[in-house]
Amino acid sequence: MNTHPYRDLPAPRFWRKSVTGVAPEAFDPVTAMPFSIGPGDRVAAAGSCFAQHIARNLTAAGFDFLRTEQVEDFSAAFGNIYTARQLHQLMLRAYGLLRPVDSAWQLPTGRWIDPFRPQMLGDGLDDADAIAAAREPHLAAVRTMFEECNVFIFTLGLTEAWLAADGAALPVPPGVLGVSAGASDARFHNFALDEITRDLESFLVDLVLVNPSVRVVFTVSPVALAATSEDRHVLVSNTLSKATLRLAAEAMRARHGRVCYFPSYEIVIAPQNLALSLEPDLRSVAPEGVARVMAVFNRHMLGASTPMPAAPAPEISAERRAEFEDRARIICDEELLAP
Amino acid sequence: MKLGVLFNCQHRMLAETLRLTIPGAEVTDYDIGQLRQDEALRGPALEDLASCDRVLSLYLGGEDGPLGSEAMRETMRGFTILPGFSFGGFHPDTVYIHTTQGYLDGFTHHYHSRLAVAGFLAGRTVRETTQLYNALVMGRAGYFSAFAQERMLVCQVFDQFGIDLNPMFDRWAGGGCFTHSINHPKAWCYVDVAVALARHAGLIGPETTLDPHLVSDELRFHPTHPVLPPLARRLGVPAEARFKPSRPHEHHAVPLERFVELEFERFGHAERCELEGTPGVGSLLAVLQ
Repeated sequence: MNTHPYRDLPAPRFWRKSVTGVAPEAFDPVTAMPFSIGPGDRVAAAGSCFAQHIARNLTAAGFDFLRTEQVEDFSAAFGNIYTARQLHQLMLRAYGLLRPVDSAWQLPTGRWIDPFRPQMLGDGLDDADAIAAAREPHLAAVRTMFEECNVFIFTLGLTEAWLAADGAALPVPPGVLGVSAGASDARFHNFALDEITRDLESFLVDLVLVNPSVRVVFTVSPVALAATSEDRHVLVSNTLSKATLRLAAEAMRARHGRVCYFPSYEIVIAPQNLALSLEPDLRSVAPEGVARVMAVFNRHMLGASTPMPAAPAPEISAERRAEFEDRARIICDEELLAP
Repeated sequence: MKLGVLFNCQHRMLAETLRLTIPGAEVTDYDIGQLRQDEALRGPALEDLASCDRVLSLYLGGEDGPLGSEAMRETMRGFTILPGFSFGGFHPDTVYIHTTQGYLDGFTHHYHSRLAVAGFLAGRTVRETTQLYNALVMGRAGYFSAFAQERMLVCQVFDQFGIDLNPMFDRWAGGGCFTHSINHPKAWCYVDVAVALARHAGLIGPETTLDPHLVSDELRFHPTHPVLPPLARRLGVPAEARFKPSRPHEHHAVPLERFVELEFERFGHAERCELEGTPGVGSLLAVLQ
């Protein structure tokens, strides 16, 4: 006789048992996490504006939130990073592998700002050279963050973005700030799922190259889109955006043992939480909502540090073998130089 | 017993090890590079080697004429081929540049920086190229896996002679960087290898050991590239920062940016196609695009 395939499943698998009638403070959609964060772990965070709450929470909980520049809510002074493309490009810029055409923008006030962190230099600097000079120590701090963190938390914020003429992903289009000089023609781009997963994959590959023991937490921002550039209702765009980001995060979780997904978005939009979790604008997350997310985060993610298993020995590449064999044949003649 | 050594730049350390471990042995040693270049030295050297009871040599092909291993096997008594020690795990950026006139000469003699070559070919400035000596570029270039790969490769070479270098690698790991350059081991490391070679040749027994500090580090005066900081961090050895030319100029070591500047000056007089043919540079250029 066929048995009922749902008979022995645990409570969290059932809506009636784990959502219906569960009090807001008791709601907890996390079932298992592949690793936890220990007090000795250095945790870096980046992402959309919701990422700032994670930084504050970790600091308040006494964890070692890694700050490589003197800024309040970020691990380095990069400001909000809304898209996966922007995150990977931050890394490429930090390591000299991307040199965007847009280097400095001039505001209507005459002051200059960094296009990739427009709010991080106050009301701006005197000229474009000052922006370039300020960028060097900033990117050095970004490199330190990537290389020295044990855990990197990234909050995926948007699929909709503005790209400079050379494809550099901008946090805001120059027109929003009234930029008068230094900006190339920005174009709107709504990243598709495969683009986002490719960007996250590339980012992870590069992150692991510079930091082989890093673990990564992806989460999706519960903050709704303020506006959409697509020709449709903003709520419809918001749903598509969150679904796409969630799928991309899931793809990374499924592929990489060092990656986990934390359901910030799900906690905020859970039916029993929604009314209390949002601000009156029905977009921003209220302090109660943040507190609920962080309570679940602390319950499941903070504990003893989980080390990454050692990487397997690399295979010998054909290029390396050829170079080794070539070198082994070389008889150096430095002897002739040394009297 | 008279022993002859015909080897690469490691010949003096090998000969010294033989003198110190074989009581009463007379050891005469020759550098292959010198004999190749100096015809006047070659004849007397071959005569001297022919008078030895045993000759230990690197393998040399027929293009080396009378120095070639097949010719030597016919004329020398107790001729034994032994492997040289080459290990690029600490210096994966160091590379030779082949030209029609031999290897390209530069501030650190024949040693050049692969990243400097790639930066030059990619049209980057000296400053921009200096900034490429970072963890991501090195990671993408495979520099971080070089240690493990080079270890496997050199172990495979010695395995063919029945010599297991793995225990030595484990021992050396505690002492920091054990090579001056890609083919210049430090004496305290090479003595272990030389003792194993002597044992393999049947010249000493398994019980014979040697205090590595008794052998003079003949290769320390030759050009060196530093263990670059991102790699040093990964390998857990002290980072170095200066590029050192040969004796007598070893006190004029220069920091990275000046070295890249000197490399660029040299590359400016080299054939572009020869720079492009440098091993691994094609992959690095792909990283920079």
